[in-house]
Amino acid sequence: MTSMSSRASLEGQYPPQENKKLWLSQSRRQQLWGLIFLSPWVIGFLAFTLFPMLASLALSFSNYNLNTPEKIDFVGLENYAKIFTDPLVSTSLSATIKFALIALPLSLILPVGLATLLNSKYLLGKSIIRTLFYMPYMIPVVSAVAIWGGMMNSESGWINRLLAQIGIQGPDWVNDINWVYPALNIIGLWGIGNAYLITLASMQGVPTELYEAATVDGANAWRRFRNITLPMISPVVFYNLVLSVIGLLRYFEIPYIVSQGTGRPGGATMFFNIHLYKTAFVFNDMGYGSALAWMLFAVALVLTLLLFLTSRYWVYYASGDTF
Amino acid sequence: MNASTSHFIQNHWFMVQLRRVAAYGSVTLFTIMLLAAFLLPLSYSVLTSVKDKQQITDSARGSIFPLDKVKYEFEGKSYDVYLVPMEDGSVRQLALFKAGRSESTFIDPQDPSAESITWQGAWRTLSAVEVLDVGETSKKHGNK
Repeated sequence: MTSMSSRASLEGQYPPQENKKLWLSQSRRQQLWGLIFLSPWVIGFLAFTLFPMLASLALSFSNYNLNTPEKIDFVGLENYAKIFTDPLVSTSLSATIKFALIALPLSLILPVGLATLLNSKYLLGKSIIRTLFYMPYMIPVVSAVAIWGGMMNSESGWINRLLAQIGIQGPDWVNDINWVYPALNIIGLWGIGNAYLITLASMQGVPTELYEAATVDGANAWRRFRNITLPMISPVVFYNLVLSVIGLLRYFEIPYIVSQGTGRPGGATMFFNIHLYKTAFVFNDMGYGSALAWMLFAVALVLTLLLFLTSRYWVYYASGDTF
Repeated sequence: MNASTSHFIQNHWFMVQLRRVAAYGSVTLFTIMLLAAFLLPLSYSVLTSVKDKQQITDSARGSIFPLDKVKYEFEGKSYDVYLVPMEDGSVRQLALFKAGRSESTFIDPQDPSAESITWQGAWRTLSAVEVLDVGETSKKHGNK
């Protein structure tokens, strides 16, 4: 009797049945607020990423040119067919692949090597040395290329002066077709900061018990590095590899500043992305430029997927998770 | 513990310490050398930032440091000072008063009232006297 009367009194406090639907439950309200807080990012993503991507996909099937926008016409797969006959595509892909053959191994080996050195228990002043190795990463690319341009000047550059001190005549780094890729790689060394820092953090996370057990078993430093450190940091090496491959495909700033987009010497710095940029924004051929961009996207996607497929054979995840 | 055991322990301890010091020293030294090479372009940019246009032009073939030629003011005119090898084997700092192809006239900034010195040879082969200058010239030329 008491419970019935209390329920009746409670029911009396609720709004009428029609108004009840207007009130949102707490979980709904939380969802709504979540969406409200997410909306700036969602709007930004839609406006500045998804929509331009879809627009470029649509443009890739047209002959849209910024000089004659009124003459836009649907051309089907013509732009994609042109990719296979454009001599600059093969030149730029060749330049990108040649550069990648040097840059990709370096982008994997150097961060690991540097992180190993800076993780050494025999290194004094670790904090300051680690900071100083990271420092050039914070310098804007344009400034860094300008500084390296001075360093690599064939006449007055410090590198050639140092080489002259030991009786070696230095090359004309950025103007010699044989030396431009090593030069670009040397300039790129200043961007190693992030990769080495992530690798170092990963190395510091390797349980020391593993090393202690290996030492007790008689493993020397190389065996410990080969059989403990490398497998344990393989997820980070994999992460660096994926980023490096994508970064190489979209390699643009350094060669563009070095050669002003001319591709000199001898087309060696006409990387795929520079060809894309010139097609779309210098010659204003947005239709063909969009097709080149989508081709680049497709190649990057395929290579990334291939890397993820191979990762199960060489990347070790302590949790057992694989992609 | 007899004397030979004690000696062995001391020796062993000394070798361990020596190995530790060698390991710390070699790893740290190697890393510092690597760091110096890595940051060399920063040194280049710092030195370039304190040079004026003339110093940058001069440093293309000369010193990497921001150097300025030493000038000597004489009777209202400014003359460059050079290192001039004399017949007696000494090298003197003299101001080039009158330049010539095979013989030039110099004056001694220490004793300008003395007779001018005629030097046989091409003055262009002489080295100018330079001093480190990271501020004065820029103020003078106002081009930093």
